[in-house]
Amino acid sequence: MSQLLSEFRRPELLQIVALTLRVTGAALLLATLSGVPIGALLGLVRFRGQRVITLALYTGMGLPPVVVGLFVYLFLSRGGPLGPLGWLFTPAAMIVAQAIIAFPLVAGLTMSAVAGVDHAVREQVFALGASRWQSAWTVLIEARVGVTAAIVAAFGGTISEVGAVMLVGGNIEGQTRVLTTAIVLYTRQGEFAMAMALGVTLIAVAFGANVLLLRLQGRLRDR
Amino acid sequence: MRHPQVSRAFVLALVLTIIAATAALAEAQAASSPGVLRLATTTSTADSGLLQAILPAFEKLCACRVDVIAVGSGQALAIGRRGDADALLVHSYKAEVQFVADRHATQRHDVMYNDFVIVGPQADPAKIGGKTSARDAFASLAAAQAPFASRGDKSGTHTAELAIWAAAKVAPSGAWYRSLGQGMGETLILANEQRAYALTDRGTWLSMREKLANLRILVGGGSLAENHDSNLRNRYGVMAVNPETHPGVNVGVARKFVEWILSLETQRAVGEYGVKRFGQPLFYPDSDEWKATREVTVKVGANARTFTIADLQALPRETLTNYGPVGVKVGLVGPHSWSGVPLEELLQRTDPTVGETRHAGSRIRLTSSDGWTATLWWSELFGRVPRGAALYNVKGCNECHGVDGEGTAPSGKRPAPALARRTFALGRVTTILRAGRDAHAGINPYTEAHVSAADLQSMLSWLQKPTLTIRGDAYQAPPGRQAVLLAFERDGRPITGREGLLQLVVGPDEFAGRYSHWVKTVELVR
Ligand code: HEC
Repeated sequence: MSQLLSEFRRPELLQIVALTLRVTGAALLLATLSGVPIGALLGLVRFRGQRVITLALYTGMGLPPVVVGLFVYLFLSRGGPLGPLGWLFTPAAMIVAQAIIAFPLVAGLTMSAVAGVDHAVREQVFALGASRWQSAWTVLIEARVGVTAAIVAAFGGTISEVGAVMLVGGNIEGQTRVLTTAIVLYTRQGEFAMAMALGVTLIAVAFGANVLLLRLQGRLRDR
Repeated sequence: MRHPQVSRAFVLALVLTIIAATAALAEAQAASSPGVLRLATTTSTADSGLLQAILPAFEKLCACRVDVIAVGSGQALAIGRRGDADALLVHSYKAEVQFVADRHATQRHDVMYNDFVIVGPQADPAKIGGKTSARDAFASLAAAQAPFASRGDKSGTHTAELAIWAAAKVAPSGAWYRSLGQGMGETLILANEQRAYALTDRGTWLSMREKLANLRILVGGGSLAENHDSNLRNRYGVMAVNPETHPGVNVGVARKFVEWILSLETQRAVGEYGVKRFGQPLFYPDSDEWKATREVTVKVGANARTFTIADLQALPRETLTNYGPVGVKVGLVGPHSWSGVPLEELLQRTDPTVGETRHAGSRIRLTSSDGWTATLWWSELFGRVPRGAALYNVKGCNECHGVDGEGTAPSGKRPAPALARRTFALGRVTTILRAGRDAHAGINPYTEAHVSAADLQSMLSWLQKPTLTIRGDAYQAPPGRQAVLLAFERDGRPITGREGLLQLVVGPDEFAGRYSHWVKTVELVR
């Protein structure tokens, strides 16, 4: 136990946590900014081919992250179409992979939340003479609890993801080593105490972030 | 109807995203700038702490950052093959040679080596403890169906493991053989938990030993010196990725890195790493520059003299021209001319009486800095030897089979069986020699031009009763071609780029005789 505690004093821990938050945060923002509007749109309007898109989103929610990692890897590899960017084995590649993993979660869950908003509310909004944008916004606000839940779910999914970030980030010390890949590394080396310390940290970070998000959700709900 | 907080949150989110995206982009740009070397390497170099110990010196020297991507050797090579790394430090010799052949790199250099050991449960139910051959040990494991944990990840260690199974003529499968697809650490941990056997590099074993109480080394001994099986040698190579095949790579820094890691100073640091903590090095330096000898010590009885390269250059030299092709050693093909000092000259300068017949029956033993030895008979230089004996040496058989045909087990090379006092069917030996390669320790075929049927016959009959007493014909070298040189120049240039190597070149004949790198000592022994 005391060994575990001393591991928390290792200087690399802070850096790993900071990078983890940066990567996951950026990925989550990208996924949110693209996923929420698209999810809302899908929840609000009816059009041909919608079922296919819905199906694709739901499949995406269950997509194995390593597969995403593999695709991102091949795209960003020097031999791949986006090779000239030189993003492979940098945080940028990890952000891209995580954003792709998070996007279907955000969009899919937002879509269900929006679709679940009482029909009466929508009619009422239209009746009040709101513009399309205004009404969409209002419905989204109505569905805010579900939307926050979508973001929370995506956050959990990305911060605990290891396969894809390992592949595209390369687990480079001080550059692309995040909590999950560091746990894998220390476990491989048999340094279970450090691995545990990182695991506890990961849980704490996830917990803290969720508390924040849920409080935001609570604030939204109370209004 | 508007929710100011929410819109504010939205704006905030937007701003944050833009910041994050810019930061990520900036970071990505920095990562691919000339100031970064992407080094794809194996887990063992990183997990052992070696790179952490030596890389800061390089980062200072090149004013750059090294991004270490530590994966299995197979994956590291795949990363290099796509041009996603600038340099590779791996241990999968055959795959590395292929990598160069496929033009992903222009050259591979030896960097360092260590060894693999077979570990297993304390109780050793398959009874492999104390075996000296990995092949035999693996055969016993398969026969006993003892649980075996395999990396199963195409890493260098996995490749080495597969080669040993192949040598043992076993295709491992079944419940006892557990292919994990995991790193070395995970594999050892699993073996420890499940009381399984495993092949591991000694470095990882030493650094994790305390966590593996249920396991011990069964084959390979307590240190590299006690490991007698060359199949267990683990060589690391370094390569800069070829910019012609992969235009995106950072070739400038990569070349600097290769040069740096091969340099004497870094090699010394490599050899010292881990000594304090484990009582033995984890890696043994192995670059050409490290092995290069700058002086040679000659000993005859109580007399000893050291000659530097400058000393040698000042002595009367001899040159062997159009020497080769050397059929035995892959890679040393092509006629060269070698300049150096004849061995007799050096011995006589050390002890003028060395040529007196009281020394007949002695040997002259040469030792290289990589531990390789070559032996000559005194009579070869100062007397006469039987034809079969001389041919046996001249054709280089003694390099592997021993100067008296006694067989050798040189560390790091494949042991060769004893040939002395044995009777061979000429047909079978001819087949082995002419086929070469897989039929004969992986060496080039000896053609009729190298070894004629008559030569072979006289060698084989000498081997049946190997003595230096001349009964039939004595060996007569073709006129003008007899020389045993300690050469320091090849084709008029120093043998290595920088420091100069000493090589023993025996050129009495139409075909190369003994040849040894980096001769460090020459000694007359009884
Ligand atoms: C580079 C090392 C090397 C050289 C040089 C070499 N051998 Fe061998 N030889 C071996 C090894 C090792 C084996 C054992 C078979 C194997 O592993 O392929 C072998 C096997 C043999 C065998 C079969 C032995 C048996 O027990 O069946 C004969 C005969 C033989 N060598 C003769 C020669 C002769 C003659 C020469 C010189 C013309 C020669 N070798 C040069 C390494 C060498």
